Amino acid sequence: MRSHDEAQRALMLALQRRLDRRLLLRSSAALLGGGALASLLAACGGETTEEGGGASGTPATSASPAAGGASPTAAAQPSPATGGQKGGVLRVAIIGEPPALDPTFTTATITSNITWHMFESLFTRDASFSPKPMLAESFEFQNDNKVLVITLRPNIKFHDGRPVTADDVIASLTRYSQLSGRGKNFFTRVANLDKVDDTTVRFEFNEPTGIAPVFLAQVDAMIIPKDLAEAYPDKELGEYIGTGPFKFKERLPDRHISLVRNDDYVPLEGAADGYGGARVPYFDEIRFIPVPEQAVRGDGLVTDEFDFAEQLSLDNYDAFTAEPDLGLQVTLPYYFYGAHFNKSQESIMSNLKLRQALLAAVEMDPIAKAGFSRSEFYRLYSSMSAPETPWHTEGGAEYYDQKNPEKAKQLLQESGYDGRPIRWLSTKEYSYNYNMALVLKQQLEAIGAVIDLQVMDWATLVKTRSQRDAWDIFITGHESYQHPVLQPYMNETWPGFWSNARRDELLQQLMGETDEAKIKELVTELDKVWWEDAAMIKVCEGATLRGYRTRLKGYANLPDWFFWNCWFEE
Amino acid sequence: MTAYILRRLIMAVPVMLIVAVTTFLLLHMTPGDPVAVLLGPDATTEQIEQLRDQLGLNDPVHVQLARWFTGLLRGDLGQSIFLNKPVTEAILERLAPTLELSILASLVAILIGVPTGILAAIRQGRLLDFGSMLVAMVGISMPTFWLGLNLIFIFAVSLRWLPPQGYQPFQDGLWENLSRMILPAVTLGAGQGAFLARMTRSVMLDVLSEDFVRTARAKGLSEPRVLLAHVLRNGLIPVVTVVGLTFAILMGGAVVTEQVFNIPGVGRLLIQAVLRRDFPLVQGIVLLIALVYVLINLGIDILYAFLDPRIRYA
Repeated sequence: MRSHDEAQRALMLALQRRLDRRLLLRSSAALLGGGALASLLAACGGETTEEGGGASGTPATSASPAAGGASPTAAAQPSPATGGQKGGVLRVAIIGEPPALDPTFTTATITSNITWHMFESLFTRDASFSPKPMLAESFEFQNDNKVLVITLRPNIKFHDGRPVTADDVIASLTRYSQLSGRGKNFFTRVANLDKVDDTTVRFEFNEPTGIAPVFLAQVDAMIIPKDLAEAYPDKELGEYIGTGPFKFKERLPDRHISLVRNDDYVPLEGAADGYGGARVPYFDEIRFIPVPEQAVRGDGLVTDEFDFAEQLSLDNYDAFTAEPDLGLQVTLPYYFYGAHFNKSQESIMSNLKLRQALLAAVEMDPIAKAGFSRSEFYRLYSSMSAPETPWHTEGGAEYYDQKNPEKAKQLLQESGYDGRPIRWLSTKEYSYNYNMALVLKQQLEAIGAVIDLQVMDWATLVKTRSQRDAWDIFITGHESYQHPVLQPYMNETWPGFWSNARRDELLQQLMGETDEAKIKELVTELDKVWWEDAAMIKVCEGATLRGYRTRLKGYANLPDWFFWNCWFEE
Repeated sequence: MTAYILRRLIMAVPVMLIVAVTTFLLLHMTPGDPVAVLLGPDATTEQIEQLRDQLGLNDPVHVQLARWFTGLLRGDLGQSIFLNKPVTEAILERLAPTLELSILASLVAILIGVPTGILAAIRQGRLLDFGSMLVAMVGISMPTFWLGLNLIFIFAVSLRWLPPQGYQPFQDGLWENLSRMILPAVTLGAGQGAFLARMTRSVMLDVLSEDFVRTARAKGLSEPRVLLAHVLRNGLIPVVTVVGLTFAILMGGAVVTEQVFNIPGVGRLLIQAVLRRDFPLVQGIVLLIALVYVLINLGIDILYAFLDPRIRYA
């Protein structure tokens, strides 16, 4: 029966998502013709999204109208924390329902982006993505970075009115040490975490741990009341009480998550600085509305259903610029994208020569273009960290973008590669993923590698990539504005299974260091080892497109969006 | 009649059991890991394994099936992995938009389909017949999402008459609610309406050629009376079947429409549950859809007896 087909088609559609839909639309257009269709097609272009509900956002100093052109924002701009007007309901179209409202529990970016309006950590990140005190008033390293004493800001209160004390900090960080992957990693170095007095805590480390503020500046190290932390020690939070500029109001799954202004919030003095400095809540309410369809996010923004929408189609950039009262942000730094090799013994890619051969063959620009359509939407550089961060280096740059098929063939021969198919996991759920894989496959096949491109949905891909014997290559993205030590692939159990003694040594030293010059030296060396060991084929940094109604003011263009310091102009 | 209904309900039990077991096994044969999706892209293998253990996902399939089944017998559909709440509650929360959409879409289908079918039958072989059947053919062939996107483009983005997406409950105002339901209801109802039009036409043509119609006309009844009192009443039975099934199909088939119009209903919940491999939730929704089919079929059969006095259930 027709309707059964329809239900089937529905599922197929959902699984294949928008790329196919565009194709289908094109074919329907070809069949039927019709003028309105051309514009419709433009409105339903392919998407470029991050995996796993990843999304990050970025306020800019002032909302520049689309017509003015939205150029990639290189650096974070200081946003004025004052001068706004209170009031209004901000409607934000987000890419989907977050898995939980607990950033300690899940690593999904959509969760941290929403919840950091409610929850704060001891530190946060400034305009250069370096740690900056948030709930901490001051901190001091002692005993050669083996002791860290943190003093809390006085008079900070939770949303329920209770003061934040050292007990809350210890309970929250204990939960963090049990539940968060990063927290577990960090706490392997913590010998003791003690209360000095009501507003002071003292970390005692097994070894120098100058990196502590970097860990404590992440949203998963958030501070919540002691009783809450103890009630949910190993599962996701069921109540949301933090210290942030906005308070939890309600969550109606798939309808909205609503936060209201915390009128008792006391901002830090001075100006805003990146994610840090003064945070002033202006909106009465922020409503995060899950809109999984990219085209619907765009339509809703254009028709004033939303005030802000994330991850719009880069293909529709020109169409959006023609809209009045619409501002656009092409956000960079953002994520870098590349192909991870399975370096475990179970995979053919554990062969270093083979990895180096593939690395030598590729030319990055066509792959980046396949993923991100226009050169304004991506950047080519070798480092795992963006130029705006203190960790950007030229280490191993000679291995990037080699486009040297002769060398590749030579290495391939030396590797003893026998023409066995290389199993490549790909998904069309994120168009960049499949599009980049296609071009990469073509380039690698040109030197004689045999690629078995397996296309699957994201849930299957994440399951498969965790099995060491099931795959050889997959593509994904990572924050290019994150401290290299926190990159997930530094963990040997993360798919890719990268283990390297020199890397471990460097990580160990980086964890201990606080001296900026020394850190720079170490991250340069780390980038170099990453390339020499051919851990992955890093291709490019890709931008994300965000749009907003121009009455939204105070929005700064940073990789993770936030809406404190933002307001509506009458 | 009561005995008949009871018997039908008892017969529904094995149907539901088969649906339940098949869904469970099919889902567990599908690759994909709900926990990996839940914990996000940067989660480590240990974290994933730890939570899988907690949720019992590492147990053998027959153990999981037994556990789920025991719950089912107590009326407990289990806990949604992703939403962290009981499956029953998750489904009930989304039932209102889907029910409303299905009812409105059925209304659209009936309002388009039945009159068009009747007119086409009366004017058989004339321009009206050809024209309406051509339109119906196009309507049947048109994919729902394609129609939906066109309607959004024309009425929401270009003309700005109606909002392109979302759902507002009745409590927020009737127009707020209806304005967001018009486009999805037309999108979903148009295809079914076209189907219904063809069905009504062919049934009406069959009845029109019956002897009793000729007799009715011969005894001098007015044409409207012949049509309404004799032809339509007799033609209604198959039409009712189709309308009933249409409603069941719409309940399950609102999936695409809910996705395109961003309506937080059961269809969208199902899609997301599948994509996230939220096993208990998918199982719960599929069971619900099966139950709706069973009940609607029963309802149709009961309705037959009222429409046609010749039909009696012993």
